[in-house]
Amino acid sequence: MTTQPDGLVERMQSGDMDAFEEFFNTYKRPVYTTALAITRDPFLAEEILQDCFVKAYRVRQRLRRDVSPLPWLQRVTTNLCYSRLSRRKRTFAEPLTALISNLVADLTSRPDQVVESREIIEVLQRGIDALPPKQQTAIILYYLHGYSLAESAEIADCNVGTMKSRLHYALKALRALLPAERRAGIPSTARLATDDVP
Amino acid sequence: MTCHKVARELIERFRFGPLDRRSAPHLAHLETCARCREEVGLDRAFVLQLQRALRERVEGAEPPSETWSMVRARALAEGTESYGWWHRLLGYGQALRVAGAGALVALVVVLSRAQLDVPHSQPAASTLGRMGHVEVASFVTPGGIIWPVVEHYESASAPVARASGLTRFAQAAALVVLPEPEVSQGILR
Repeated sequence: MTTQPDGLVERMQSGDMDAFEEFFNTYKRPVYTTALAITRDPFLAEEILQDCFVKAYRVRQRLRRDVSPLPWLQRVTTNLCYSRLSRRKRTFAEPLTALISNLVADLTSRPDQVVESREIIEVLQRGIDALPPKQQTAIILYYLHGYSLAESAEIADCNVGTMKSRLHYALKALRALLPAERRAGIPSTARLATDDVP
Repeated sequence: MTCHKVARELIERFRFGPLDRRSAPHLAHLETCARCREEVGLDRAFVLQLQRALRERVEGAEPPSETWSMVRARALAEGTESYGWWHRLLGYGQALRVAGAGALVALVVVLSRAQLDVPHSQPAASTLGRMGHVEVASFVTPGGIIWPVVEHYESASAPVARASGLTRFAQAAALVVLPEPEVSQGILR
């Protein structure tokens, strides 16, 4: 996890706006990425980015100087995302079953292109959207940002075992969305690809 | 070692690491067992797909350049978190402790008020003083609570008693500082 540049929070706490700008530039990308990954809405993600840093400035006296503020920023970001999304009453109108039926139907025509299939990614995207917030946060932190289990757990304010369990259930739920035929088709072109997968 | 166990353990190791010397027997099994290879390969491929889906959500995304000026303006407008005078005086943690103690005292007062009706059915244990139609008396209830009561008499035989706020406070304080009924009776009578 990114460490804090020397004395940055301290300078920010003394009211130095240049330090706050440096703080913003250092951490804006991971915060924005998290917000965008959860909301999938660039405008909402930007609003959340603003809210997160305005809050950081408001409570700057309480920020710890000896540790990276990133876990705190990420926690604030995920909380802001889910409070905004719950206000919006997320709806997933289109049932997944229709999409899955299409997948099964076209499987026989081009079984060798399963891994590259656009539709598989779409199914996963919808599946990620439909995950409970805690599981969604877990896969975004672990598989998108590449935080370790311990770092993800710290951000999500839970223990490592809980984080593992959230990841396990998230993956199980997502795998269950893919029809058995599709799941069986995946390894034909991607057998034991162990390169950079955490 | 069953195939199911090997596949499960390897999937776990691939997902959360680390693959180390302890994984060697499992990996050796993998070389000879097509079914396990398939199972583990499925999971790896699935995770790769998931990562791809996640990356697509944020690919090439950058926060707009004007965001900083918006953040700056809002931060300056909203200023710093406002602390009450008690925060400044005591510090955040201390203020929480004081608030907790206050809540405890309030709880004691509420609980002790629940027994306010008890003394009215009892004669005054000791009369501390009387002035006109007002009598100040104290009771010691079976629970050991000192019960100073200010009673206003419409007539000598029909008390219309109302404990004052001060009396209730005294009652709550007595509950806290005088836990032994025998001792309190001995002192006050």
